[in-house]
Amino acid sequence: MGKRDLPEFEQLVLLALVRLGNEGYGMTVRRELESTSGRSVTIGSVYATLERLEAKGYVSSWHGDPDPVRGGRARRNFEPTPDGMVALARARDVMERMWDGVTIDGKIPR
Amino acid sequence: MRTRPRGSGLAAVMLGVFLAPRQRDYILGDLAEEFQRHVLPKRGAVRAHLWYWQQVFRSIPSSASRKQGRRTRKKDPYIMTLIQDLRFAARSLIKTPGFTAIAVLTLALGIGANTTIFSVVQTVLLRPLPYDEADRIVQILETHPDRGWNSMSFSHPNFWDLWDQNEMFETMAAMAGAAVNLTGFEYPEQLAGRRVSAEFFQVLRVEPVIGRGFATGEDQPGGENRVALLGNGFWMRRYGGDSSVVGQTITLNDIPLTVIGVLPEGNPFPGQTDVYVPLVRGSNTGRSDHRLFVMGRLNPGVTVDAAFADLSAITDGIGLQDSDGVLGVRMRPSREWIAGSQLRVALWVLMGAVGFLLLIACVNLTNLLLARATGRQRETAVCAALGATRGRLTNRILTESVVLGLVGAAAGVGLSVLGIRLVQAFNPGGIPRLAEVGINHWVLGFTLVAALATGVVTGLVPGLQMPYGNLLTMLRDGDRGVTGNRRQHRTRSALVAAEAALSLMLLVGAGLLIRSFNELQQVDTGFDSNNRMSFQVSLPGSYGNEQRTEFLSRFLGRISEIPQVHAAGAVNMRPIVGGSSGMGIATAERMDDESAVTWVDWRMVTPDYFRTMGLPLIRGRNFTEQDRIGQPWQAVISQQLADLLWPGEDPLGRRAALWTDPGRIAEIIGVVGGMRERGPQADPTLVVYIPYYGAGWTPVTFMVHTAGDPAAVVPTLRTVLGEIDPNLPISNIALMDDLVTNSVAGNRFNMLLLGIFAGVAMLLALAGIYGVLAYSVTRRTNEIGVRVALGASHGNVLRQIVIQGMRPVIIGIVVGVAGAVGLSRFMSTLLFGIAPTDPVTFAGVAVLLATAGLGACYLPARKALRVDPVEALREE
Repeated sequence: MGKRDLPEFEQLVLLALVRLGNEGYGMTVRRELESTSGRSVTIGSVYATLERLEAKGYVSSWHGDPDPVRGGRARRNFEPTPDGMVALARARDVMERMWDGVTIDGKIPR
Repeated sequence: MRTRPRGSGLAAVMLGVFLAPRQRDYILGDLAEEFQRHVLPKRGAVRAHLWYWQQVFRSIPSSASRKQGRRTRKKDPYIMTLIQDLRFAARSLIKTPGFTAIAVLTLALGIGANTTIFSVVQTVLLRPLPYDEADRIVQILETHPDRGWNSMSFSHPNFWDLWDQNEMFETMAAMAGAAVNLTGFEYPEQLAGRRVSAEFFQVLRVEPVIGRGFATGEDQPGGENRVALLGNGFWMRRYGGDSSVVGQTITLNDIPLTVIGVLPEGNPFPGQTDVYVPLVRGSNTGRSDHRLFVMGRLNPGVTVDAAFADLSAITDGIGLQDSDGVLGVRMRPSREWIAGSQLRVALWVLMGAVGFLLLIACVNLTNLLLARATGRQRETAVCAALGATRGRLTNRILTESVVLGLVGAAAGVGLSVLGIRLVQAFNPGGIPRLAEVGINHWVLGFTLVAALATGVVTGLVPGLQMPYGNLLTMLRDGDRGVTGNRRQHRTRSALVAAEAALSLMLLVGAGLLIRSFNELQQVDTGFDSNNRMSFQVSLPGSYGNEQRTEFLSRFLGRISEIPQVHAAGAVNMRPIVGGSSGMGIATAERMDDESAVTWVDWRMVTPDYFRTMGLPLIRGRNFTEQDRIGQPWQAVISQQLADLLWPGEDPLGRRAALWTDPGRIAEIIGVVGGMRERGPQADPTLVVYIPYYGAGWTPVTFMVHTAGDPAAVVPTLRTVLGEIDPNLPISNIALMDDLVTNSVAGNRFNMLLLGIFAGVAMLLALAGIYGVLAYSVTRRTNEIGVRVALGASHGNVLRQIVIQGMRPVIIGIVVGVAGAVGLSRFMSTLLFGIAPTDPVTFAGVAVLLATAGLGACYLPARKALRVDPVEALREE
């Protein structure tokens, strides 16, 4: 898998970060994913994905201050990098081209 | 409202296994924040916690794959090899179920015995007392170096002097037992009470669960002494755990006391106690009246030696004014309260015995593995030819033996569960905390270590001795080779010798205990315990001396009227289980001579006591119903004391100073037979008997001799006592037979356990001797066939094989005897009537083992005789 590839879950996480603006960190990403995609996501896998994205240079992160609500632990905030935005746009481009002229019937099972 | 999720510390530990600390903290922080801000308000505490833990657990798989990703991708060769070896071991063990079963059984016996005894040792000897900083608590004993006594209770003035003057103890306290009668309920009851000085529970750092403890001054004369602390068990039993009991009045010995508190569950101090009352400071007299148990809590950082020096300086001062001889002190660490020295020795001896047993089991297994390795020569050779290194092959054998060790340990733990139940069911008495013994993590840890050690030790010899190198020969001969090489033969013989030596030592230990117990059974206690029963009645303070005497005489008279009763008497100390009352005595002629003072026991008795106990009156006369203590002073003495005071002379009419007091010079009116009052193991006591009548010692111990079972008269006794005083309970009913039997129950217990272990050890050793020789005979079938074909007689063949088999056994016996001579002295305190090097035992055990060894050799030898030379040669 090349550096440029953006598998679906990474795409979703990146998109969630874009939607969250400056409120992006592990738990908000998880909640965003759960509420929009309806699938159950563990915090562990969110972090694993965020770290992969960071290794690819698609997101950057910084630490907040320790917070008593968090049991004195610091928060790690994430935001997409310009590279990340480009990759996201490219992925969408690919998808749209693939969908061009395709129609399928059926209901999404909930 | 609690906002942090419960157990987040545990979650941190769990995730920490898989994640770097920072990564873990991001996740836990997120979870905590989400929990508090969003989940808790929406879903409520229970479902929020459910959510939290669900998240934690579900995070583990993705976290795990992250941290270990790099390692598993490369497939650690070490782990892979280990897994391979484990699979191989499991396969080959399953393929040979007979071998595996014998090996596992052998180890299960060895490890099970170890686990059982260790669990007792751990609970009784190793587990600390439940007190805060228990190592600062020490017991203090009086000593009288000039008389050679080093473990005495304290007298009142000596204790209070130390209490006033010492500087090394944070607190110091004293305790005396006190049987008290509880009245005010529907029936009177005798309670186990204790009198304690005010700081008693401060020394132990035990706080009452409700109410308060004793306050300063409540143990001083003139202070508020009429208070009581209840034991938890008594509180539950009598008051149903009602906390309003504090402030209520409880009537003990006819005196109303105010309940001030209830102690925590269990017994804060060893021994069951119903009620604690203040020990009121006594007057400064009676330094020779030793009754108090004394303990103290050392100041932080103060050593026992420093405290000893401080106390010694005080006792030196006391010694000058003391009429009772030179006074000293001795410290005893509190951990010894649980188990006295006799029990400690017994348990360590048993621990050593099971250690030997496990060694024997190991040796047996080593032998089996050796034979197995030899049988697998061809397989090994093929592996080696295909490029397996020597280390790799050794590892494989080790893996197999470690797997065997672990499986054996698992079975052993199962056996030890049974073993512990047996020990508890047998309960020899005198083993404290026995009910608490069980398999805990300490015991399991011990078993695991034993299993691993067993596995490595048993696998090492066959692993290292594995033939490797001469591939061609091995491939060609396969497992038909003779008996393995010379070195292997020598190893096996050494192992057999080791087994014989170890089992001989165990057998000697068991033999010594059996002989001791036998000696103990032969001892003449001097009194008759058959159909004798003792019970106690505690007389309250409202009975003066007059009333007590009248009560004794009346009650005994009524008891004698019961048809089944032969005789009844009273004494102030219960034989065997009671305490002791002592005095110095000197003949009237030499009473000023310090060196002529003899320390003896004194007993107050009613006239019929001797007849009831079956003590013969050897000379002179008994007391009469009219004799009163000190009016005038008259005494009956035991035979041994008569011989000591007036050797070769007639003691009747002679005079002796009781308590070496010129005011208490008594005439000797009779001599009775000696009596082993402290059980069969102790010498007959030197006793001075004086009349009970006229004195007020309580509780009174009554002795009844009946026709038939004494227990049958108990209801009648209660009725009779109720008619005399309905407020007096009967307590501590015990058959004298039981007391005598119980006093040697510990010996019987040690003997049985060591006997069982030695028996198992001998069976294992015999199996080893038999196995090795049988194996060798099978391997030498050809050779024997050739010999027989060439004309060797049966006798020749038999002799040769038996000699071969017995040589290591004899060597083992010689080595074992030497070892046993060295080791048996450690158990000398457990022996009675014989020396640790008792020649009868040693000779008997050696003969027993040699004979059994001969038997084990004979079976394979007989098999060799049946070898048909034609068959044997055809195989060639």
